[in-house]
Amino acid sequence: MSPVPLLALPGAPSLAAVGLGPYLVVGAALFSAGLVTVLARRNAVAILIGIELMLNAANLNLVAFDRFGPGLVRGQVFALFVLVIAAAEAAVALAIVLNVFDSRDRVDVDQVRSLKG
Amino acid sequence: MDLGPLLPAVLLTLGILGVIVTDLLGRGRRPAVPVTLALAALAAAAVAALGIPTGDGLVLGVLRADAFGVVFAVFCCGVGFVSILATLRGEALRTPGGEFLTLVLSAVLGMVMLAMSADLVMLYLAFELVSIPSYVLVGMRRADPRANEASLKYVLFGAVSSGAMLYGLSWIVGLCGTTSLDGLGAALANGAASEPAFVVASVLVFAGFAFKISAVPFHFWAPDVYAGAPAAVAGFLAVASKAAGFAGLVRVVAATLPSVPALGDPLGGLLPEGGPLIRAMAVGALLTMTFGNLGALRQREIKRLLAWSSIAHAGYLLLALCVWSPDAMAALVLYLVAYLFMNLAAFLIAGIVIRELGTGDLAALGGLGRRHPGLGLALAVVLFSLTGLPPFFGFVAKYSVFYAVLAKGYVWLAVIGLVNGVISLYYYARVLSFLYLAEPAEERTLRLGWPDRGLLAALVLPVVVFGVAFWGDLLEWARRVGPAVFGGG
Repeated sequence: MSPVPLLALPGAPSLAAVGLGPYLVVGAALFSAGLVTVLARRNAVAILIGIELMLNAANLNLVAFDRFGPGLVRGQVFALFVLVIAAAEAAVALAIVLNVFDSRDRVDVDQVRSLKG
Repeated sequence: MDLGPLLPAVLLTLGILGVIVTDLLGRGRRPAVPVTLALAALAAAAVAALGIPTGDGLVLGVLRADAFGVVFAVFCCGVGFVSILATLRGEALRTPGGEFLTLVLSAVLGMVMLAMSADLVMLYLAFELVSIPSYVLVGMRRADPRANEASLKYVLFGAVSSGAMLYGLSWIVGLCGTTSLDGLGAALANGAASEPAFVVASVLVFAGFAFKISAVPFHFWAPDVYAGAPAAVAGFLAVASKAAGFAGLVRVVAATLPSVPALGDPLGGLLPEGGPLIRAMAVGALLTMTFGNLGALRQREIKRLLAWSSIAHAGYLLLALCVWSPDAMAALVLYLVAYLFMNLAAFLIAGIVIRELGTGDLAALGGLGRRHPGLGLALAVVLFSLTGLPPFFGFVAKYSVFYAVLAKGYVWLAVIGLVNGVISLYYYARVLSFLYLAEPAEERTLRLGWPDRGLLAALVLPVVVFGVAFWGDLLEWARRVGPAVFGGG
């Protein structure tokens, strides 16, 4: 099956011509950006955004591998499941962040330190 | 297509729906109805799991209902059952609402699925179905800032580790071209394992599992989370969540290990032979038990102490896993069963003490053993059993793990494990010294109801009974999982 370009800009290479490599590079960049965000930012909401970047890097990988691989659609189904899980996780995490915010009016993880390993 | 093996999952799902509906209809006026329903659903699921005709076939292509999966399904249902009962008698001494029951049932459902999963998509979904309700369960007491912080910490660390795990899974799925664990093994045998990306991806996936079972270096969340959570929830996480993590880990290792090429022996026989995976697990086991036991030494609060102790126990369980023989797998199951009774009893006592005294400080336990001989004796039995002293269940479990380790000739691993046992004796005995030797800061008598005593007896008696007798039968039963994991059954 030959991939059909969804967006055909004049003079731009088709999605298929780009090949698998660039998608994986973009995925790795997204994942790294997410990881750096998680490690560097102190605000709980910013950390959650970093986690979303990590999950979407995985999604991009799954879909790209599936498109250029054996084409069993399993990767795309996996990505759909991940979208739902990510939504559920974000909902729960934001509810917890709100709860913490209610009790101390800020959500910087540095301030959350009455518990120590 | 035979859907019989799905019956436990169906019963749990019906239980979840039933709890939501009865909770809404009763509007909180009859809290006993959803509780009874949830307990009934867990018991029915356990019975249904025992009745599953075990075979090697796949259900719906993503689940494998073999003896291994059944054992863990029954195990997790049992822990859920006890945890709900313990919550009734826990810190707040209140009947849990429908939301609590729904979350526990959902997490148990995820655990059952995780133990039976034969597909990476199923594995990831089940993994998250265990995690997401757990985040909320930790923060159930919304007015308590410590509970809020604990659940914030848990959800952030948990989501990061599962995100990293998913990214690793996406590479593995891509490189192997399949999501089924069987197909994964076949693809690895064809050389997919030699890709450098595969190594990085495997590290990420195992980091996710290490977080779930609280293995070093992904253990730091456990003390804070257990200290902030209600004791019954902490017990649920320490036992069921950890056991489910191990079950998933066994599934992944069983699928990939035979196909990963073995390395040479650069360390001169200090570590088990076999692939990098086995080596990593052996090092992880040693670090986890050592850090867990050393961390427990300086704790002054009972839930925090139990959290560090549960990290150390994850190390012993990993030790059984890295030996990777049918005997060691039976020892792993036996250890988990012993761990269930010991740890749930310990967390139940912690919950009762915190309920009555308002604090879990060890100093507050002063003289409790003399005023409450029954409670003191129960705690003493549990702590000696956790140390691994005879004649208690913990000894039998540790003995079978070390026997499997020595049978494979890993003397060093067993020696370090035994040294760790000695370290743990110090901090467990310190709790007892508070209990019996220290003078109380203020004379306070605990009000122990008969449900407290009954539940405690039901958890502590097996620790004694299986330590003295019947453990041979239990080991025979645990041996059933060997063929399911290693083939030939």
